[in-house]
Amino acid sequence: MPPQGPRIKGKVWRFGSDISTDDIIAGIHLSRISTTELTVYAFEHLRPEFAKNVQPGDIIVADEHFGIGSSREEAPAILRHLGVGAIVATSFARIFFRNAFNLGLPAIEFPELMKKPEEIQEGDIVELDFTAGTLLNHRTQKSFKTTKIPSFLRDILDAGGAIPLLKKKLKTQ
Amino acid sequence: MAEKILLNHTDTKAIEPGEIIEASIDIAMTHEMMGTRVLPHLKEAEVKKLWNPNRVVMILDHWTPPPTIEAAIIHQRVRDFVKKFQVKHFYDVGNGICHQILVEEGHIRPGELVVGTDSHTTTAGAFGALATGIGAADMAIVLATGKLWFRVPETVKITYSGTIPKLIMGKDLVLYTLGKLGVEGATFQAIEYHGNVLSKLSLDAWMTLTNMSVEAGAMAALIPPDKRVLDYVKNRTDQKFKPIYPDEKINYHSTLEIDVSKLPPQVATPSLPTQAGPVSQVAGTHIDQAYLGSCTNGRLEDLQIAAKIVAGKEVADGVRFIVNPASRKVYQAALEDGSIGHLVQAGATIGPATCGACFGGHCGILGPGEVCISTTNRNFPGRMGSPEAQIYLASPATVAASALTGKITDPRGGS
Ligand code: SF4
Repeated sequence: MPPQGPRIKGKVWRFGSDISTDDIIAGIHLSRISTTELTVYAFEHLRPEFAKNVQPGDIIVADEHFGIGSSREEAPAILRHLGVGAIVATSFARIFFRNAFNLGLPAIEFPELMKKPEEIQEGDIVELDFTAGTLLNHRTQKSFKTTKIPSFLRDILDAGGAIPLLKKKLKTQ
Repeated sequence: MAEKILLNHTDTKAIEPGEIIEASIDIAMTHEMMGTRVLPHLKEAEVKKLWNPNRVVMILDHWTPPPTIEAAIIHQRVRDFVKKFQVKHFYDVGNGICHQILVEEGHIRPGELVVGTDSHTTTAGAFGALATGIGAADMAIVLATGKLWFRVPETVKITYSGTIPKLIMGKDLVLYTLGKLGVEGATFQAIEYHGNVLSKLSLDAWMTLTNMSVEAGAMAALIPPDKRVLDYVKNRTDQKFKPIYPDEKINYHSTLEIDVSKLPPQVATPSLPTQAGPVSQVAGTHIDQAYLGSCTNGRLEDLQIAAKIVAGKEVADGVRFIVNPASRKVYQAALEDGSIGHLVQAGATIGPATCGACFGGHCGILGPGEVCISTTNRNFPGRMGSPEAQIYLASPATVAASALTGKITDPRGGS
């Protein structure tokens, strides 16, 4: 489980623009049912070292349109399974954004990054405050504004994902 | 249109773009993702029954027929589920691609709200439904409760004017439009198509427009239903429906007007669907494979145009020309009108009605360094197999013309 407090701190894996769900997990592997088996293929062509070296709590930082392409939930699922603490990007594709929150993986929009993509680099240690909507880069000690998470999505994160929340709802009905 | 349809599915009196609301679903469609990812969610949430098994449509179309044991197991799980939970509408292996089946079998009705575990669920917007792709957890919630949250979209209006040149297809229009909008140029928004050109396009072409709208990030794409749509739907459903049309005074987020009169055939170059330009820019590029099929362009009109172009000719040496009709009904119609015969005679390999190679699953995967021209909707690296393969997206006419020469070719001749 990725950390779920109001603040998280982690090491940055820096990605560029237009990272597609095919980049995250190729279609050919999708007939495998187990998420654990799928994790070894995370970014297999783009960043072959990722699946082996990613540490729980690490943070993915990307530019525009992270998660474009298919509705495959395997994409955020394997990242969460590998322990990714959050994904921060200038912008996200719609379905990826939904899927990430549904699985309890925060997807944080950071539009300001578009103007100065060099502010966050590979290996930086960044700290996210979900309540305040800020990102602090420990290397440069600079703080930035990110989009705040709407309360509706906070509830999903706090419950550990949309499914635990659904379970709770069904029980109380 | 999108906002109005959403509003009709909530219990509030007014909604605004940007707001997060909960809406009631009319039709929920899912495919193999049911067997892989939705089922574990349902188990985890201890869901005992479906909100309404009559409004659920399950279709096996991606790994069909199953090329691996894992795929066969996924299918078994879906069949078991269908039986146990009494899902009313189930289409097993061989019927065709989900977005085509939904429309052909009368599950899409104007004014309704449709969700599917597939990003190209937007296709159904050609028939006046607000239809959008969702993930597996979303689907588990819908199956259990019949409701889901949405962010109310703003609407982008696209108007086509002029007269359509010969051999220019819906695919050329949408590729050109995507080039203008850019990747995610319409993220979280709905696209609405207008203009006098629409009545000159077939409904098959309408589906190509709404299908690929998602490549600009759109939540949904809609076309105000015309008489053809209403007749088509009435012939396929006995359920009542109320078509929704845009209000006179609607605030569009933005508008885009495109005169198609001089539009040349379009090709999207590797590796983004929005990277579109005239075929002349890449004409002559060597190809190893030509692919005709998918929920974008595997319909009757697509097969007919391709058949006409290759009739009496031969596919170039060294080119694999692979065809997957979008559904069994399309397959049969193309058999009956002779299109399949022409394609086979020219050297095409006709596969089953399946997604197949479109997502790099099976039935025509690309090797490293290979080049494919394809009627599908995505050309990201690795989409159809090796990430070192290159995919160009084009209309069925351009793909067929290229299959004959072994090079990317303008179907109008002369290059
Ligand atoms: S044909 Fe391709 S794009 Fe369409 S549903 Fe199948 S895999 Fe997806």
